[in-house]
Amino acid sequence: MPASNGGTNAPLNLLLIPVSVIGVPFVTRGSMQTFDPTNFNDPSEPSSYFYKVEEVAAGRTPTCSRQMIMYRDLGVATITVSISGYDQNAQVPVTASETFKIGTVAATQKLCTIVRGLALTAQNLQYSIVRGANAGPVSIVKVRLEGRVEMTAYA
Amino acid sequence: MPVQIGKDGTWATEYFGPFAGIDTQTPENLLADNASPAFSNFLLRNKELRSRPALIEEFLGVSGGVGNPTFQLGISSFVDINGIYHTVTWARNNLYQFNPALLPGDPWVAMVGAPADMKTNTVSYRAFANSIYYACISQPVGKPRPGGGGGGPITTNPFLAVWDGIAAAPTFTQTFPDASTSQSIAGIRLTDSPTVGGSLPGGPTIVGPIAIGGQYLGELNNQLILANVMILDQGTATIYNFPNLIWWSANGLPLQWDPTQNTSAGFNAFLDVPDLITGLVTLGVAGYIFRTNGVTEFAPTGSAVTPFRFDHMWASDHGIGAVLPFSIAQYGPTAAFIAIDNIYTLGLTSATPIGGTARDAIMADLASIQLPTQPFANIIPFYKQGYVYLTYNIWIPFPTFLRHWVYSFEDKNWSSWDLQIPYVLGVTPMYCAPNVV
Repeated sequence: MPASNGGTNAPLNLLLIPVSVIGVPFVTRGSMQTFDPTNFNDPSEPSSYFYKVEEVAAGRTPTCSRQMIMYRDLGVATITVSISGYDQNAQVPVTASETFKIGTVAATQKLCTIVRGLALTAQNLQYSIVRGANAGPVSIVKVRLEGRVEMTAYA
Repeated sequence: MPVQIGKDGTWATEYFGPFAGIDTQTPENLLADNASPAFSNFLLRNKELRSRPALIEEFLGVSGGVGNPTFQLGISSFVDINGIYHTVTWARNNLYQFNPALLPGDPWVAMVGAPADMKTNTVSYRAFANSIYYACISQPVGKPRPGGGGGGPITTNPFLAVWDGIAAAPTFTQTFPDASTSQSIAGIRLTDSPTVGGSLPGGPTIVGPIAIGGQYLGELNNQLILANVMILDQGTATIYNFPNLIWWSANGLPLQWDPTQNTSAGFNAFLDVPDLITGLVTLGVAGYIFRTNGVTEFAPTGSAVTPFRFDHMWASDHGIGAVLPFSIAQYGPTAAFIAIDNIYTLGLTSATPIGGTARDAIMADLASIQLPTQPFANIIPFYKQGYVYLTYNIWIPFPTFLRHWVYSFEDKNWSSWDLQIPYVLGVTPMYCAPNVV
């Protein structure tokens, strides 16, 4: 049996993304890229997630004053969370944001919970989480929002 | 969890998986709790919102250097008769083989594998009988629309080639008993060319020999099948396009494409459909030829004279078909493709729309593509062995990034990722679908 011309004893078992690294004015070189499932900290692109808009109580203006974020510790990450809504008195969109770190250098893979006190009073509340490019790996398991809403019956 | 309001005016709500993915077709306040009106670069696998895996360069690709643009036109692997695996890619007029001994340098070893520069024409490939067969013809690259087009084809002589992983280089020519040589292993000898060529649609006057190539390559019933065929009459250097024609090799004889020499080889031109062929898949004992506005089912008959029976499932002016060349992907018994109205999976029994609540956003992205880019798609079972995520993936180049839509077959949700793979005017970074090798 003739011998094989090169090759490997097993498939690479790997996703390969053939792309061109483009310079001006020519393609400068080819690149075989892939996703690294051991690294959830993309160095070039941010991540963002917007949750649904909450009315809470129709026609009332709620306040969100506490957020509980349960996450998996994949390492230190910096995230910016925001609550946005609509101020019906000023008739403008409003937003409250804060930036903080989650996770540990040890990257324990354990579930952790952090409680925050970001506050906003507005209608149509929407919570969002943004991780900047190269800001660390993030894995959110659950988010709980709490607050108060006026319950007095209309006259 | 829907908002809970206590009697004292306190309220609470919770968001957790499994996640429904992107929903751009419902007002934000009417979404399901586990849906999102917008998100980017989060992975919804295993009911967590995880920042997606980092995009990294695993190793260098095929490079032509400054002033010598080289575009990678396909990526695949096959196992030869010795049980050795070969990972291959294509660029210019070469097939390149991966050699891990060359890492961390350029691991790609070139061997001439095409009769001419394949330029930016995507390669269609198929492993058959422990060899890799591949074809490449002029591909309309441009804004997606029925029939492709927009960018204009870049002429390349049609051919079919093969490499068995043992020979020093692939073979893309065939010499016949009448001493003529076709510039494709799918060829018609000189003496038969006027007869065979004359029976093609339009009855062209052919001198021969004929080199046959096609946009898409598949296999069914131990017969290689080229779809959306282009032939080169080597006698006159004339190229003929037959975008509605499929041509198959003889049963078990992938080098025999001449129906006058073996009746199980032959061709069929779909003159009765209003569109053109945009791909094919084979599922079980049947094959499906995609057209821009329809699907044609074909199945072996058991007859050597008429080896296939064809059934246009529909041949209407408008209908479910694959409007984007290379949007068709397959994983075992499931295929997926992009039609003008939705994204579909095709199983053994039916076509099922999967665009769901992300359909409008995906279609808007596809409609926003700028020349000369073209989207590609594939089904990926895993990123690396052990990290399973069975997904249908659509890759859409934009000027400053590459938009990557991900559909999870397990969770039935869509995610949108943006990748740092930009292009500059006139040059797109992707000319073939990624692949697991």
